[in-house]
Amino acid sequence: MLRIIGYAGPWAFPLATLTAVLAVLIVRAFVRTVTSRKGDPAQMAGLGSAILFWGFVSAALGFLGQCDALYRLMGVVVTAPALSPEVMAEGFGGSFVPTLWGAGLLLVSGLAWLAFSRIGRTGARVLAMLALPLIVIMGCGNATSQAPTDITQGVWVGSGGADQFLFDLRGSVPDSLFGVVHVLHAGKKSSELPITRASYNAPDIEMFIQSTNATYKGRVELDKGRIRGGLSFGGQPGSQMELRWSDPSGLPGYRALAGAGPYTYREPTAGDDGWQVASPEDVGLDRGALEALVNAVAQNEAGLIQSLLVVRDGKLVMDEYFHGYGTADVHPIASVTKSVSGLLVGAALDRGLISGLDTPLLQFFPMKPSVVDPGWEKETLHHLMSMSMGLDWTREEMDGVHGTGEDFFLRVLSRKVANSPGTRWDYVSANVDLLAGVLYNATGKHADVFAKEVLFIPLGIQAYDWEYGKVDGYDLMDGSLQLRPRDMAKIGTMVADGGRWNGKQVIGEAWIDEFTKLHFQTGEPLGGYGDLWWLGELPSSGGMEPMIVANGWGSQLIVIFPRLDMVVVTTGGNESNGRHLDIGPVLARYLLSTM
Amino acid sequence: MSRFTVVLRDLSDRLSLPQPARSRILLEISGDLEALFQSFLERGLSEEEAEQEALAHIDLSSEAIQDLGRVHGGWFRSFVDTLAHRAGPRWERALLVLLILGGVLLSGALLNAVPMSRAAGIWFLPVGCTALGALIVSGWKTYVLFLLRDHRPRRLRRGLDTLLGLSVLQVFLAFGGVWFTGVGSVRSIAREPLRAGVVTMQWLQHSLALLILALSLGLLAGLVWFFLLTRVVSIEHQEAAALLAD
Repeated sequence: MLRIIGYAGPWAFPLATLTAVLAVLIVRAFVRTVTSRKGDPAQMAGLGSAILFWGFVSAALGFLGQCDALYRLMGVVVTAPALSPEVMAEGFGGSFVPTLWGAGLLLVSGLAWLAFSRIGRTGARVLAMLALPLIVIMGCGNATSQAPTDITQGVWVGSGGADQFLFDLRGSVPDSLFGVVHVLHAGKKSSELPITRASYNAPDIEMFIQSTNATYKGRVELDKGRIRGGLSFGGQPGSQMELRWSDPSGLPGYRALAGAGPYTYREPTAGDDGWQVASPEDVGLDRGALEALVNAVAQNEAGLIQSLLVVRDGKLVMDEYFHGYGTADVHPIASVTKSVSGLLVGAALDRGLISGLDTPLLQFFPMKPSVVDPGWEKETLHHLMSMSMGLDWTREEMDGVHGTGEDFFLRVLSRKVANSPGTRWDYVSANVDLLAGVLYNATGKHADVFAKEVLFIPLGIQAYDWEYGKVDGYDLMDGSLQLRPRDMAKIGTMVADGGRWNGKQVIGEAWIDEFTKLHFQTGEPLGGYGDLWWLGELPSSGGMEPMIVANGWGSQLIVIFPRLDMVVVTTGGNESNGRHLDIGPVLARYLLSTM
Repeated sequence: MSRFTVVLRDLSDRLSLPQPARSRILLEISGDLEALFQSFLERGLSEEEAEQEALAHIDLSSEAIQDLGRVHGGWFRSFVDTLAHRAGPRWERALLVLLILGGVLLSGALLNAVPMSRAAGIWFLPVGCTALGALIVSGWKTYVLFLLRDHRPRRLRRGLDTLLGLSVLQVFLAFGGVWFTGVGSVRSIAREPLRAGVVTMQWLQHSLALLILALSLGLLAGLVWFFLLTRVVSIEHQEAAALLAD
């Protein structure tokens, strides 16, 4: 019932009022029919007419509600054409709720009118006796589903701008509570924020979210299904946010899969983007294993995964999306951007625009800072791409400094060389950002323009976004590119095939081999590092299976299994929940173990 | 008490119609009798003669009364009459007023939403004109009933059917607009199949905006009609009761 009210949106209020009015009129007519010995046909006809009138008003209002809901849906579709079909279907389906509600009221009122004003007292009694228990049951259903009995029941929903925050508490009261905040944006679940600490001493509740340094404090009114309170950030007062109790299953994007029941395999659509598709059997994969994999992902075994694609023998076998995402969505790919940037260097090397990986970096930067550490003379493009420049960044700077543009390049070039280049691996995003200057100097084109020419057009990639963080045309090379998962899979398939896509050489095979060669053992969970590509391994039925990985924070991954001729792509929202690489064991357990 | 009270009481007994149709007929016949009575007085007849002549010129036979019953006893008229007659409880009237106020606010908000008015396109013009007509009729009728208090029987219901008609017309016009623009869109898609998605989306936006505006304004006009109707019926009932009183 709550779900129906949720779908009816603001129209639920007048429709609920009219439902109550009709219920009162019907009960009153019934009482008069039963208690009045003589009966008054004119009075009963009057009551019947009134019931029918409000029924018509309900039906008109319900239809108006559907028009309004559809109009709003159209507005969302126009502004966000990449909205997944599942979300659109859910919105479209939900728009019928006010109409059905109003039509239902008209039907009930029509029957009541017929009973009270047309077919006499006996008929009225029979119909009313049938209808009354129904009304009581519906009323009881409403009464019992309006409020939770426990703080850990359902979720508590608050709104902030275009986002919905679903506080999902688990554990036991008062101080063993934990949970997660699901963030929904435009019908898609964008991230999960763990509630690292929570306490509830009725009626006061406090929840701390470490990843955003936010604390929610409020007073719980269980009987009214709400928490009145507000968010503060780092101890500073924030904004008021009332949380409303809700059954989350009806909220678009909350559930991983739109349909009910376990996932059943479906072959991807070929589309017009150059992909050949195949069934699992065509490429030697186990259909049941793929279904188990998707069900595991849908059950949150790998945290928040938003898409999962599997390619084998160059053919797309699986193309599944979760939590409201769809094929058309371009997704931030975080540090997968670094690997793509590396491929652009390969394309420049192919064209002779860069003489070799041992080219000194300073050659690409005519403008230099007033003082350049002498160690820079030994820095080469290869040192940059293998993360072994040895600059004197602090640990915080390594994690947190990003930028592009000439001023930023001067800032990097002014760093001292603390370790001999090529001797020590440190993951530094700021160093990779120098590639914007390298590519512009070598090719005369900014990275996005060059990428379109040498990579995106040959791969048939039409939808992408590289605008975020751009300065004076220089792109942010360490993590601002957005791609569709299907296009990420093309890049993975091309790398797996030695730089070829559909038989055509896009990036020189020699450079692909060089970039995916082990240069350093990093001590990180993935293990090894080549030139902007990670190298690792996962257990499979045949022992440890080597893999080449483009690794973006939050589970944006292109995973290439060269020996299996298989590519797996995921996008996700695991930036804040510590589950960035949880997909690895899931792949090993459900897919690699069957191969 | 009217000079024709006895005749009207007899007529009331013979009329097999429910309220408020019975009151309305009584008021109309009473008005006709009074008009004839005045006319004969002006021609120089005495009061007694004028009364006799007036009664002689009005057909109050059983057949004529049956005809009256048929005229006032159609299903729609009966439905409206019974509906309006019993809309007495305060809570129901209060709900009606609340719904009208809500409707005014909603319509105002929707009309304020400029993109929606734009999306409704050229068809918003006839719908808007009809709504304006309904607004004028509503205003005039409210003024007559509540401020001017002109409760002459033959004028009481004047304008009410027009208001209901305008309310329904708005909705019909909107559906007409949806249909016509739909046909235009199909033709456009036939010419340029590649733009099918865009054209369909534009048509849907246009249609929904038009329907929202027309339905909300039509519903509002319908509720105002109902509110005025209940007032008219109430007045008719009071006037008829006064006529039949001793």
